[in-house]
Amino acid sequence: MFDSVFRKTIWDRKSGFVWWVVGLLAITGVTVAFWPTLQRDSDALMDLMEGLPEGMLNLFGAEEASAFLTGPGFVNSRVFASVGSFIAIFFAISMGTAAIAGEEDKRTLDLLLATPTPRDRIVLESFAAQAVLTTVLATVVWIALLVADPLLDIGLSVTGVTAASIGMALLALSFGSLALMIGALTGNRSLTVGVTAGVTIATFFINGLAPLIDSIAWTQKLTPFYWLLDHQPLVNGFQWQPLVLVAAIVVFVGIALWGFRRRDVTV
Amino acid sequence: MTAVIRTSNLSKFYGKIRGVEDLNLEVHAGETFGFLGPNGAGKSTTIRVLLDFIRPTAGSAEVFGLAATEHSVEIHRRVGYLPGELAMYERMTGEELLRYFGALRDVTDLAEGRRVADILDLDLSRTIRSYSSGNRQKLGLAQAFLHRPELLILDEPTNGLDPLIQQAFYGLTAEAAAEGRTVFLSSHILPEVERIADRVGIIRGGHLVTVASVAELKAKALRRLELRFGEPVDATTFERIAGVRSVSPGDGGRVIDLQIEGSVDAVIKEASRHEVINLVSHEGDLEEAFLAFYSESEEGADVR
Repeated sequence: MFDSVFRKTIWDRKSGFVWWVVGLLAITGVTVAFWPTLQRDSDALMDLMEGLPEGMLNLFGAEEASAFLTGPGFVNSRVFASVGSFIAIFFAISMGTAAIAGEEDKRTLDLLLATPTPRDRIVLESFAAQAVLTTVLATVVWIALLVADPLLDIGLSVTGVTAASIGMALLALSFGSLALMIGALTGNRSLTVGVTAGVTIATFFINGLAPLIDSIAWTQKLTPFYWLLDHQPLVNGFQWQPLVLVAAIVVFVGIALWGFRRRDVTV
Repeated sequence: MTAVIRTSNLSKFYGKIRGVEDLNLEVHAGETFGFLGPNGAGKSTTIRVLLDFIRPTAGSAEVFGLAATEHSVEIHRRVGYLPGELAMYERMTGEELLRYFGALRDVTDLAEGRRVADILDLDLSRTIRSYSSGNRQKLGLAQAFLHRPELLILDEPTNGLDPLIQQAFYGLTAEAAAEGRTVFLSSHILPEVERIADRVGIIRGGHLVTVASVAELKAKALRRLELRFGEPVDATTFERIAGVRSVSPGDGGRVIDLQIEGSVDAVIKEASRHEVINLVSHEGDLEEAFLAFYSESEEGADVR
């Protein structure tokens, strides 16, 4: 387990990772378990939903109230458009922060840098570890939904679940690579966590609420959430828009490489 | 002689704060070089430039004749480093840490690391979290020696080591020197550097005050002597002796405190004409050694 920065970074997660998996399984499990009940009482629920303001619906990833009453719409709003994605996002942020800012903060970076490991490789292997574990999280959701679908008759499609799970990983990695970038540029752990978590929450609300106000509606397009969730991959399957997230990840990692290469590492 | 480390007019400023300024330093192959100065003098700054953790504001640094900013990977391959602010992965055991840093250096045989740990009396099977600061320092040293590097850069290596282990560490540096390897160590303890180094560079306020052989340094070092006599003694007779820097009488002339540069021989001979009840000699401490040098290089030493 100790032959590279990549494997050591994964080893670092040996005790904590299982709890992220448990968290994601819990939210996915609770969601699908509620589906049969919800279907039975759909009239009452529909009344409730229609009473909700439009912004509220938007925040939960639905264009209109009836979207909640389809299986895919319901799973999308609970797992992919809110809590589930947030778990994956915050996991990726924690990995992105731990990589450089975390090591610099704990002062272990000196010993690592003193080895013949180029700085670029530290950035790239840290990101690779983040990508692999985040993909594992998305895979857990993928498996859970594909197992639950026939049992509870939710009406999901394999293509939709696959597209949405990949999308969840990309969404999480957008924020995780942003954290890696800020950490690589500043080496400041609390700044990295604070800014990245702030950007996550802010862009989530912008994506949900900006469309309601014409003058700032365009800002929605600046959020990673828009490029994934507004295109409903769980319902519509694969589309080109989430590739924007891939581009963002490439840019963030690129800036991380550039910034870390030229920066003084402090004690 | 070939220079293993060479800095040319090296300056490093952190914003407006000075790390080092116009530092010209040369460390020869095979020597043990002591880099001596109080905390905050710029020792760690210099070391961090050599390892390319930080980049010079002006001037340059070379290790093995390679520019530090261009060839850091090649330099790191051949250097063993102990940081001054040592921190390691808390959840690993000592053994795992050696395996990790060994792997990053393509060293799979941990024998040398285990041997050093053994000499320093360190149990590698425990987790780093459970180590005392002394044990952490030992593991830091084992890690630095692991790949038998041709240059050891050790920042305050005896920090936190008890005296017995310090002796064992001196043995390790002597061994490295005997094998023709170069040791560059920083310290703020003069006797330690005197004990193991061939040459000493003294740094203060970011400036290299002097570079001297240990023999020269010893000759120059200020010693403090406290003499207690059976009867009051005329202090002025001591003031006339060559090398005596200061004389302060006390207890009605029965006690005399002296600062002496170089040999104390003449003072002892003068004192022996009286009844000497007690004599206390203080090892010239670093601050006093610095003073000896400042009086000569006052101009360049501490401006700004």
